[in-house]
Amino acid sequence: MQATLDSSSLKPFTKALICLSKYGDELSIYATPERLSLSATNSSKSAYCRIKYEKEFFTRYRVADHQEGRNDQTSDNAENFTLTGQLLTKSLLSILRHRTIEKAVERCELSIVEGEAGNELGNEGQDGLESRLIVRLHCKHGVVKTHRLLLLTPTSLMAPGVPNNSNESRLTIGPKALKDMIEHFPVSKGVKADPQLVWSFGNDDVALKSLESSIDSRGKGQLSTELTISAEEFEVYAIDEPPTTIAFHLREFNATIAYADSMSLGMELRFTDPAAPLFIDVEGDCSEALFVISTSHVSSAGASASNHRRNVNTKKREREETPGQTTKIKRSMRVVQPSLAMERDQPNANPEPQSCAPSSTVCREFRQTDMPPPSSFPDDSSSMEKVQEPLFLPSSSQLSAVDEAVLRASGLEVGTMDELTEMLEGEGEEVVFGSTSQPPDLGQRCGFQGNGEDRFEIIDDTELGTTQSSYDRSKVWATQFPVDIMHDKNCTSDVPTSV
Amino acid sequence: MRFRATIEHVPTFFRIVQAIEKLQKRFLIKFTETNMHIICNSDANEGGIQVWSQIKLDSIFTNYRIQSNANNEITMVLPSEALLAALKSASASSPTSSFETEEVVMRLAKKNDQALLSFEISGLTRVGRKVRVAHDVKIEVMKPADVEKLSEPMCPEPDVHILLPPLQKLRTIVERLRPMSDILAVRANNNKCLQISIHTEGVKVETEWKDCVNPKTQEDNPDEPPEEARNPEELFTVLVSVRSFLKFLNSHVVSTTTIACICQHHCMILYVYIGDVADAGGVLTFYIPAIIDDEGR
Repeated sequence: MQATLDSSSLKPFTKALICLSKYGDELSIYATPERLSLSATNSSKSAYCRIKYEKEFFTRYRVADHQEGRNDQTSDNAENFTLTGQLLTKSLLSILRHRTIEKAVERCELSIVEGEAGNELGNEGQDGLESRLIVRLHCKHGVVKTHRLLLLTPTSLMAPGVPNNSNESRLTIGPKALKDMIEHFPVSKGVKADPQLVWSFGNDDVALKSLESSIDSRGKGQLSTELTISAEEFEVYAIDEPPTTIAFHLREFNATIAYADSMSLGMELRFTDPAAPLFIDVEGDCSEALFVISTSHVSSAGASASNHRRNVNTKKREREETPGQTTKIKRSMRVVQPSLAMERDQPNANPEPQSCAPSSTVCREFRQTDMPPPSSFPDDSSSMEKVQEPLFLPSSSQLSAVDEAVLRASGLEVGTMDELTEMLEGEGEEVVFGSTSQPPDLGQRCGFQGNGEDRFEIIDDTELGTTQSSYDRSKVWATQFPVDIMHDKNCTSDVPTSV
Repeated sequence: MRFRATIEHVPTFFRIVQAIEKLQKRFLIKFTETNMHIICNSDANEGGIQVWSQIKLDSIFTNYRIQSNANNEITMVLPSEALLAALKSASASSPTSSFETEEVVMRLAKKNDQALLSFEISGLTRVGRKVRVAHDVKIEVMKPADVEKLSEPMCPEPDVHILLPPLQKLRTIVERLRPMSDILAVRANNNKCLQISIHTEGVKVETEWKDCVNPKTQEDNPDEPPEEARNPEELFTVLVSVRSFLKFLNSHVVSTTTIACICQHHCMILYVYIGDVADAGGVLTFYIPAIIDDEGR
């Protein structure tokens, strides 16, 4: 995948990442030829956030161009081609949020290099799939900063459940109006504090009540707040069966408001019954954001006093999440499930689930379509240097030059071509050595040494092979394939071609 | 026991509580028929700092009604942070919000046997629609017997009265001294001179103001010859804890004029006037006991 952001679209993109980071630590990337989708789920799976960007949002957007040739053979694959990855939101955000970014960056290129496409580090587990997200920032004065982030294989892509449309209530409101309302509810300074608000939607007015206001540091609510506002404050106010009361936590909701506010976009809130999650849509020109926040059920509307006493332990959200809890406030079910469980043909406005099979499946498909495997692998998980050179080169003169090159590129500790062939045959799968692979490390070296252009390339590996600790040699040998490396090509393709 | 008032000047009340909040988690307010007394007298306070204040009702409230068996006085213990949050929400538009407050009513209420100070705020949203916000601050009403036990600290006749420079400026300086020393010496004379200094093994820092005003105290005028007899150049010193002095300086948010009194080797009293001195809406009185050290630096 390759996506280019210009300086004007970089800011909303960063804002989206900030919002996503408030939802969860892990960012899931899901790219199709038409759109790029980013999603995050909180640890207790009670909140989900997904922001989709149409390809028009980017100045340039391409997914899997180099696969196209191969995909001709299995033409249905070409259209459904998707790319998934997962990384820590913080690591990406720390690059894009840097204080000099706004002033200096003219263009930001995001590209995903897949493990199978010749990543030298792609040797984790049976699938040999370890992709990388490369963030290349083109700054003023020809400075180019390149960050390489390790992309993990998403364990399971999450997807929200489907709202039942029959009894849906819909509200539309601007983020500023909502912010003004929520500002009256003081949040204690503690990071852990995550107050809940009870919203009662009546015929003509809306009442907000603080369910937990642990403004006292010892967790005792010293202050309870209630706000009543006319329903006219909402642009659309269609409550299915007023009065309806729902309650939800503020942390993610505030992040959503901040996102909508930074984008100057209205928010559409949808919910069904008090136990079902709240859906929030924020739609922009080329972006579409969906937020799902689980709600808790408040049984009696007038029980504000008793609610206070009940909420002593609201700081511990996980515990509250337990579905078996039989107190008055019932936490609703998780808002997301692993998308595998989703029906493929669900008539839901949620295109991901059907195609977001775990990447192990994707990986299998690639092998059938002659995807070149990673060209080499690190010999030791702790040393990155060793990756770049095969440890042992055969001295035997029997080898042809081509064979030697293959061996060298493979980076495997094999002495002869025979050994190598044996290894390959042991795998039992037919492999064609593609010539399009791009081992990033080699390219990176060339970028430093052989590149005559007067530019700086700052390589900043913010994530170094974190997943390599579970390195198992026997497994790796079973899945690695040597690849013919064309050095020149790698050099030119890895180094940006324009300033 | 009845108590109800409209808060006319929310920002003033807010700033007073803001200064107090830094001092104590819970503090006392005594409402009488004419004044509001804010009292911080916890022994646990840094350096033994106390606040005894007197604020005229008119400077904050209107429609003030109070009724109780204890001489129409009500004394309550309030959580300062919660009160501050309620007042913050009642303050008219902060920079980020355009909420407009129309009326703020403060009431003593009771819910499920819990005494509350309830704030009812009616305001307008940015498009001019009505909003009602209610805050219930949990309080504790003190028994009259306990109230009687409250007593202000005793202190002798001050040696010197002097007007402090703007607290904000003083604060910047004291904050610089704070990492270097725990003890701050404050000296002043009756001839417009004020010094603050620290003196440790490693460093000696002294800041002097030459043009401070020595206000005329009431006792000065009639028949107190000792004042005249004394050398106006004589400096009176008091050593106080830097931290508690900084706590006092937090009141810069509310202060206009501040008069410092030094009772040599005994204490320091600071009168923080709310509003103009001539027409002061009230005064926060800070009492900082002296740290007695053998050299009496």
